[in-house]
Amino acid sequence: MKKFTYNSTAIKNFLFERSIVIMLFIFIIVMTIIKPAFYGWDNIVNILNEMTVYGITACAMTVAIICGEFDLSASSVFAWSTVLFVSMTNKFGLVPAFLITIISGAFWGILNGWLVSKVRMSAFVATLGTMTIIKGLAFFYTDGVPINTSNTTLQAIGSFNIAGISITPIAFILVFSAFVFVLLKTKFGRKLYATGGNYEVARLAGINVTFYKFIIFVILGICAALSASLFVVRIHAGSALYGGDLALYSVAATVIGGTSLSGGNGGVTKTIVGLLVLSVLFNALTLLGIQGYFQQLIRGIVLISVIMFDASINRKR
Amino acid sequence: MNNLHLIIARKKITNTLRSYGVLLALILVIIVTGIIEKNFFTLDNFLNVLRQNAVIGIVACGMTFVIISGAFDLSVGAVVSLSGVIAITTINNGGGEIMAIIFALMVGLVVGVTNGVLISSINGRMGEAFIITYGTLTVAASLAMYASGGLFLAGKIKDGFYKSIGQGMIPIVIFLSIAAVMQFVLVKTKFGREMCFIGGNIKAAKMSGIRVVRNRIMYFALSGVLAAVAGIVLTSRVISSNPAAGVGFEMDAIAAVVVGGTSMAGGKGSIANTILGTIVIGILSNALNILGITSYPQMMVKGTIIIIAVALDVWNKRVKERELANEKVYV
Amino acid sequence: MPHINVIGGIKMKKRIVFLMATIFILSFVGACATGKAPSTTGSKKIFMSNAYYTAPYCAPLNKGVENKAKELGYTIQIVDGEGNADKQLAQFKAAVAEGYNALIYFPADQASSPPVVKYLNETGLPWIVLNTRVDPSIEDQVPCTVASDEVEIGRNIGRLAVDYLKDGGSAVYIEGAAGASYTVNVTKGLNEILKGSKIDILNDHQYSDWDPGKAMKITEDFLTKYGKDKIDLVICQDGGMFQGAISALDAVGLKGILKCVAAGNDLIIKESIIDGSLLGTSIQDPFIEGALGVTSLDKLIKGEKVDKWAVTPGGMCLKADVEKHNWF
Repeated sequence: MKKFTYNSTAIKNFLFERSIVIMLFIFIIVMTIIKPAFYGWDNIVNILNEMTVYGITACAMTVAIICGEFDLSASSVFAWSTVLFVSMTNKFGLVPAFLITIISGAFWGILNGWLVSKVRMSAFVATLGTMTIIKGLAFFYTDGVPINTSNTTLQAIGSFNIAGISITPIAFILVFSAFVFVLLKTKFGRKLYATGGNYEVARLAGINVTFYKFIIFVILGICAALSASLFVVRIHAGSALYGGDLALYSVAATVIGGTSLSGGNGGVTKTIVGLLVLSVLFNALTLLGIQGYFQQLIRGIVLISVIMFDASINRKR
Repeated sequence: MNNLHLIIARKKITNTLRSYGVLLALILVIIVTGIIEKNFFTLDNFLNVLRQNAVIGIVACGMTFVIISGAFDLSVGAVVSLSGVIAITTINNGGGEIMAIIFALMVGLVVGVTNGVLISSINGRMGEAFIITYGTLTVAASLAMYASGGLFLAGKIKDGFYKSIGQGMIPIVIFLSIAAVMQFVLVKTKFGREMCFIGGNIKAAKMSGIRVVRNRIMYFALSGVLAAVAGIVLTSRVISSNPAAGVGFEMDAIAAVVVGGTSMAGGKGSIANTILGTIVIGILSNALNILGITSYPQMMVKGTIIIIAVALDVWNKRVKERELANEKVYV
Repeated sequence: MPHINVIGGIKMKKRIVFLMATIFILSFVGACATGKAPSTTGSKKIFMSNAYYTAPYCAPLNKGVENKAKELGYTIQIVDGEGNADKQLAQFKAAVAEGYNALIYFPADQASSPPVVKYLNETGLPWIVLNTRVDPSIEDQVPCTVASDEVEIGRNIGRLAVDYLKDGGSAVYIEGAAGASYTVNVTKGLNEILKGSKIDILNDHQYSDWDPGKAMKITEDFLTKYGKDKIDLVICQDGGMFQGAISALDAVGLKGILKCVAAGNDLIIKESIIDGSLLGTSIQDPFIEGALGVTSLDKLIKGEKVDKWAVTPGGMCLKADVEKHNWF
């Protein structure tokens, strides 16, 4: 039982550690005052439905980052999975298609994992290579033309909603809870943190570090395939061009949430905050009527400011 | 002793494959393509390849320094676009070719210094560099869009100084001279040695009195300025500006650096390696183009080459390390 | 500084977190209860989601939309759909929540358009599709599509080529982006006209992704592969590609000697038609297309009848016709 000294420094530290949440909180309040529509149930549901598609991969990316690696190929695995899911649905039906897609995601993850853990390539380079290969494959398979499906079961799942909340937030909560449980409550989770925190020490302590560096990519591959499946559920289409910003988005959400890229700390609960920041920001910009190029400009400035602010407070990062 | 001979021979082959795998593969590709398509094996074509890849090569040189120092710079692509837009806009509005070049270089300098200041002020390593340069990328890209109105701007460039930058041997000369100077700086000057030190162990570098913050700002500034140079060369070649000219350049530059053999971990590397990486990727693209292989299988081949090249390199380094370690035991 | 050591200190920290979370959630729920905002009265508001906002073609397109909208007295907002139908869906939902009265949909691609079309029809608001047509299966559910006849553009390019190479010859052909509807349709039209002629396209598909730099590389490699004297004509799908091709030709002194045909309304095309290095172009004026989109939407808002498909004016343009058109 730690002793907790209740004084102003402690409160300051507590708040600073959660600076991102506070900023988000303030931003939401300001937005609500300016644009009441922002807080309407319709809009909230909109944000949630859209955010959770990428959100699953963002959580998986957090896991990889905790272990000290990241994965650029998630975007291409996503694109490939949308293509595979749609074409397999048209050929074999919904359930086989889903299974095939998940397995292919795992396959790409195995490839990435092997390159990083066994061949000991830098994750950046390995996933840069696989990203290019998979993207080329997706284009090649479809001749560049987006494909779609009119599978009625798929459309039914897509239209399913409870008070506006579609199946995606529900799927997200399930996956998210699984991640939280595994990361915080199991030995697997603890060993993951250890591997990311200090590879050599973890190895000397007897942890099978090669396995952990391997499995995180498999998890990422599966989650990218999952995200892609949810996307197809909503849009019923697949293309090599989809999901281009997924990898960057996931890394950004993780880092903004507070997980350090050097590994060993953080968690998926923090990543939810990062996801919210990004989605809320994007939604707000649309509602505020900000025109085209300026949206991009503001997004870039906000991204930099958030990181700078957070980093300057938590200098020990 | 036949068995032993076989084993030694096999080891020798593996050794050669491992150390020179990329080069050997390149030579193989060149020979095979040359046989299939006679026009590939001409001086004209090779000069073409060098010229086409000079732009990426210049960017990759700047990126090499940043990577050696332990970070990377995602904003270079947007700087290429933005500096090109600024240069062409200046010329089209009668500002003159010299001013155009100066403005373009200033753009690169400003973005680079911004990156450097932001990142080193928070003692950022890879992660912070990732997000911050991604942020500056977004800002620079949107400015390029805004400044050009989203359009290609055809350059009102008559034959003259600016136009000659992109023609003939000039881009190649620019690329190779920049590379030569940078390699010299890297290997022979204190600046270069400090860079390797900072990339290897930033805390130790700080403690040994190196002005880390000032140096890091210079690495990013250099990367930005070189990206601007690349932007100028590109707009001179295509006689126009394109607000999305540099999309994807940062990945291509990093690919050139790592295929050449510089490690992402930082601490050591070489510009000569980067030139090699640029040429390997360039010749490969060209060979595939000439063979008539379309863009998308090309992507698959490129990705595979990146992985194989780096994998070979990593394997090579590990074996060398092990050999060194073994030697120590017996010495 | 007085400090209170609380036994079982973790409890205190947890209480603060719990309190903050409760306040957050309560205010969240409370604010939700206020529901949707009342739509602003006054001038009508149009919302457009452009999937390819940053494409060079879309800059004048957006301008055309804006100018016409303002001229007719509407407020207009255009956002970037970033090529993602899911994002565009979310954008339209946000716009509806914000009280916009009319919507313009510029699809990312045909395949992903059905869910967006379905939603737009559910809103009950007047809306149109601009520039890129939707999936054929639901095309009849769209009140009005404003787009060019891309196949006809391809045919025009073909006609220009056949007119120049009356006795046949070899040509090289640079395309846009694989799978893009413009690319596919233009190629279709081109092939229709070239089928009966003696013109031979030397290469397989080569995609430039609309980038002049890439197009320049492709042209240079064509010259290497086939030889400078073996090519009689360079065919491009749009102005950006042409810019790259003409730069490559210029660098080896073939500008004006090796002729080209292209499509689009870029300034470089105008200049090249005048100086003779370009034989002609097929008109596709994005400014007019944007304005046509708004006028069609305006008719829908007022309850007037509109054609299912309002075609953007097209047609061939040779040297004599150059001054009749807008160039950008």
